[in-house]
Amino acid sequence: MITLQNVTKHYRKKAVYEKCSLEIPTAGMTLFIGQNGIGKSTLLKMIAGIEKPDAGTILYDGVQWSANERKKRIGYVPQEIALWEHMTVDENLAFFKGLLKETIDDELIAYYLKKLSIEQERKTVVKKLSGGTQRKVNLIIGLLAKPTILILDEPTVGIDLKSRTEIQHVLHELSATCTVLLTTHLLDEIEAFTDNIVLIGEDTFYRDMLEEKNIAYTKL
Amino acid sequence: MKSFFQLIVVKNWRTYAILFAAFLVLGGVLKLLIAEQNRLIELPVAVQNFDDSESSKQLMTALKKQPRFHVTNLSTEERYPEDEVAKQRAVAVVIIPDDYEKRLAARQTSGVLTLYVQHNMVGDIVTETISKTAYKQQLPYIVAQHLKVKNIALEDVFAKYKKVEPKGQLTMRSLVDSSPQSLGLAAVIIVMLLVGVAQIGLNRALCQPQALARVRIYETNYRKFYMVYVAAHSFVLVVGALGLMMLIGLSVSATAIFVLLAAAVVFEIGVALLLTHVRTWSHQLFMALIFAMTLAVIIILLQLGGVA
Repeated sequence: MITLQNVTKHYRKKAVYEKCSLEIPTAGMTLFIGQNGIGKSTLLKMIAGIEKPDAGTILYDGVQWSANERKKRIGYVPQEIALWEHMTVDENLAFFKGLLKETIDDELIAYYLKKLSIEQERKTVVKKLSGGTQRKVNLIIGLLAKPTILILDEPTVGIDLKSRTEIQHVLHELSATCTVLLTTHLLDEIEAFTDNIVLIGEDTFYRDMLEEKNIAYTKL
Repeated sequence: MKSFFQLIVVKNWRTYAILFAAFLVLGGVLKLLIAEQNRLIELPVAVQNFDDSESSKQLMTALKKQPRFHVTNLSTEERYPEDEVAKQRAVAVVIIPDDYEKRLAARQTSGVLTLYVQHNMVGDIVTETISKTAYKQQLPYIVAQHLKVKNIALEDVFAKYKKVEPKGQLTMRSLVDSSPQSLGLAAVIIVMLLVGVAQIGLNRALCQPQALARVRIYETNYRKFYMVYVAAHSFVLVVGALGLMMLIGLSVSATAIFVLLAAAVVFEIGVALLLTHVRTWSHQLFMALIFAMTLAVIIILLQLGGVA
């Protein structure tokens, strides 16, 4: 269980979160939806430990994790393609693997590459890959640390339906053993991952849409 | 650390090759400029030798050994040797008469050499040097003259003189060690820093904010990135600068290496910070240039002994 207790976050004078509390169940998939700029990415970054809340605490299975523990147990996949563009897929995997003490083995990497249909691209330089393939590599890098919590910020934005489906299948598979948190704006993704949906913000559009489709959600 | 070595050194080898090449090209250009400068300060002296004797050849050899002298033979057919000086092709013209050796032996050396010389300070220096060289050649003959009464042959005097020739009273010491306050070293450091600015353009591949941000997730900070970056680039700058020093004939010493290394490390720390904290290329370049120039000004002030 990930527990947010009275979390407050301000950007200059703008309050993004004011004493917010939330409980996220272990394992399974949790989706965060809401309008742009409402603070979805900020929330994920705080859970990942990349940003610190101004006040409040975040507990993981009832305890606070040190930076080292977060590094070991949380995989974060940013919205941007955070890869070395001039290096090949294999070189990127080797680079980020080299920053970690414990990583998934090469067989598992090969499995993910195959599952995402990019095993042929291992020797290709990242800047020559399509946007979809770059996103898939971006995802695999996030899995290298063998995380128990996987956080993804709009992992399927701007890619074709086939690639999106492949990524969704991998995430589904991962959610059986790992807590997967992600943000999305895509309706098919919201319909596909209805385990736990957290609605952020006051915008009625998302609320109406969820209620129209009879999808249960938690309001933050 | 291995990952950073791979990223910063192995995948980035072209940067180092280009920096080395820049130092070599600069060193070559400076070497040519210095050679040209040295040629300009050579003192051209023409010698017209009418006496085909050992003594006259000896004198010419002695003149050629004089530092900064560039001695040329003037044909004995030349009827107006003074024109060499008048037309400023030579600072001085020395005319050795056909009875030079005989007059040396007979101790009749007054006015034996004719000298045309420019009437200026350079001419005075050349006159003094030629005079000293000619006088030195006469010494054994003077000694032999005094020993004539004791029936000592000139050859014996030469042999003895060769053994006991007095050494100069001046102790000449060339400064070969680079002082930390050497202006030559300061100039090399400034060149090194300016060449170093080029890495802002050459290291575009390392300046990828999203990938760097991901590094921070795993590493918390850029400590290892900075360490490898600063070490690798400082090494290249120092080795390049030392190569430059050797090419242009500046002596390399432990002091010089230390001063170069200190300047390179300080500069590289600044460049590494710029690469990770400033996103816009033109801003990075501008700030690196300003940083290099600021360091250069500090170094020059240190060489000049500080601000009065």
